[in-house]
Amino acid sequence: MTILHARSAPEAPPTPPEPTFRPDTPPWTRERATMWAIGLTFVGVALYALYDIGVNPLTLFFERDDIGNLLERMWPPRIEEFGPIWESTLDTFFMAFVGTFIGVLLAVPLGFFAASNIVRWRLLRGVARGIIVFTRAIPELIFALIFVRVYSIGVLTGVLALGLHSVGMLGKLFADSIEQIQEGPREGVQATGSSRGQELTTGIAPQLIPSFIAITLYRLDINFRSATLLGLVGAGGIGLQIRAYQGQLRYQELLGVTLLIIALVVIVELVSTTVRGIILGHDKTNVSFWQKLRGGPKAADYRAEHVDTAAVAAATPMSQRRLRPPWDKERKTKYGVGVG
Amino acid sequence: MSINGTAPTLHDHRTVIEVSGLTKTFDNGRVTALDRVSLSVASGQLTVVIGLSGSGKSTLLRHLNGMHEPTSGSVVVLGRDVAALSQKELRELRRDVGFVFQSFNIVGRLSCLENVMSGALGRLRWPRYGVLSYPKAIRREALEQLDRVGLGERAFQRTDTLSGGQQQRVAIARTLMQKPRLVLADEPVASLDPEISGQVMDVLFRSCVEDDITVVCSLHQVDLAMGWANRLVGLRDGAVVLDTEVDASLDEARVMEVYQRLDPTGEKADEYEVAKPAAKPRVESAVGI
Repeated sequence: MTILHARSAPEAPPTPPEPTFRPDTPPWTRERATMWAIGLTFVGVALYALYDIGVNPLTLFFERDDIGNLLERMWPPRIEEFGPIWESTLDTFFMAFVGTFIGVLLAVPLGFFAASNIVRWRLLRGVARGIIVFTRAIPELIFALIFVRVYSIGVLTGVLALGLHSVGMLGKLFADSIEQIQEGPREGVQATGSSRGQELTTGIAPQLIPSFIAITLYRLDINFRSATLLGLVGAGGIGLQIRAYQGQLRYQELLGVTLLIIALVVIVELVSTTVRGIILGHDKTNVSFWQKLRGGPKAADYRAEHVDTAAVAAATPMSQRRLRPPWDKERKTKYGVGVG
Repeated sequence: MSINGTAPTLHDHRTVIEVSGLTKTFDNGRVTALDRVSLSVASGQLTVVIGLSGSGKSTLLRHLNGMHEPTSGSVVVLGRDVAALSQKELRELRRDVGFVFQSFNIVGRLSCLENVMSGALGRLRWPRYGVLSYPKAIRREALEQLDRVGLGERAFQRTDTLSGGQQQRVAIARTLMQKPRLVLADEPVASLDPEISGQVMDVLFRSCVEDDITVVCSLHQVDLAMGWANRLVGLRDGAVVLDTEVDASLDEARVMEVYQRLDPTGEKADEYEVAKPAAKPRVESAVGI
């Protein structure tokens, strides 16, 4: 070792100080300080806001009689004529559906243009980001108020308002998930000498499908609730009915309609969760809806079904080999045939 | 053509790769990854590059299909100067040059068949999505390539349900699907256990020898390299320290020297920084990577 020191190539590591005091809390770093500052500021601002706008949480307690009165006047809920109410609820639902569809149609290209790993050109990216932020900044209610002037009261107004406002959220979330893709598969496809378009469809698109579906279903859920509200300002559907009831102080009908909306929101949520699970779940591919409820076969069973018979396959003449994916449960559900 | 452990005959002496004076620095010259590397590979040769982690193996391979641009020096592959190619010409070059990655780089959500067929994208004109968007002839060809790597029966299974070794075999089938003239493999089995590594390397090397493809592969398994390669290149700190034909006279100790971590006094040292020879002037610049 002395020789090594004489040549003085590497310095010997400094001896650590005697361990007299060893802290048992993490050091006070800048990150930690910032986190605390953010948390405290948030609480502080909330308290100040309560004071500033004169909201006293105790009101909830003192005014409990009024709340009780209102609830009494609402009970029991009633739906007068189910037919027209149901029809306008369906109108609202389809309004949300078409609105979401338009939103996705516009947001997918915008999302790609806004993603920094797809578009190098800053100006184009900035324009796309600008449109996305702009549409998100304007509430759908404002859009609806504008479109009511142009297209008068009706479902078209609601569809346009929802579609345009959805672009904001959808575009941002699409762009974010595009920027989060793994570069590996993309590089792998690139290395085969594919064109930019081929790289997009083969290396990038498959990675995006799960998040795009999840985001779209979430937006559909939001849009259904917004569509109800939009009716209040004249976008048609169940909202118009709600405004009428509220004007006439018919609280029982109001509660009836509200319960109907809640039921529909729950159904939409259930359906979208199931659809998402079936499309995205990759370890339970050939399991029916009921099997899934019961717990379904485990991954080991699935693997046992796919025993390695490569040698058998290779011996089969090519004319008898399968050249398209089998119509198994996974593929059927993917195309909407026989869910469950 | 021989497909056993011995080297295949070199029937064609045309040069496939001509690297001269290749230097690559990162971080504005603070880190030297490749140091005046010169290398020339003849057609049909199976070259294995060995060296410690960080010795520049990946960087060298990634220059050969244009994923890195040289700081200085020239890289000529299949008669084309890689650094001077336009995007379009680079894509054309890559069609002839397969690349097998350490991290497989296959698309997990796609079926094996689709992953293999993506190797044919260079031959096809339009973007594709889904098995059915590819012509039947391509599907058949991809099935045959899957058979070669022993995964014919898993054609429609999603690749992310496969084990690591199987995934790398899918990647190899994708590369073979390109019908490349040159295959570059960057530590293809670094994340696999020894037995699976042997199987995967056998699949890769056998297929390439069968198809008469030139191979440059970086590997840590010296025994595997000695079994298959007809040429060994050793890298240390970005410079070529060993370049030899593999034959009976090759001494394994000489090969293993590439892997020795020595400090200037001749003692074995553990730290990578210490392993840098003191005689070289850029020791200080490389410390602290």
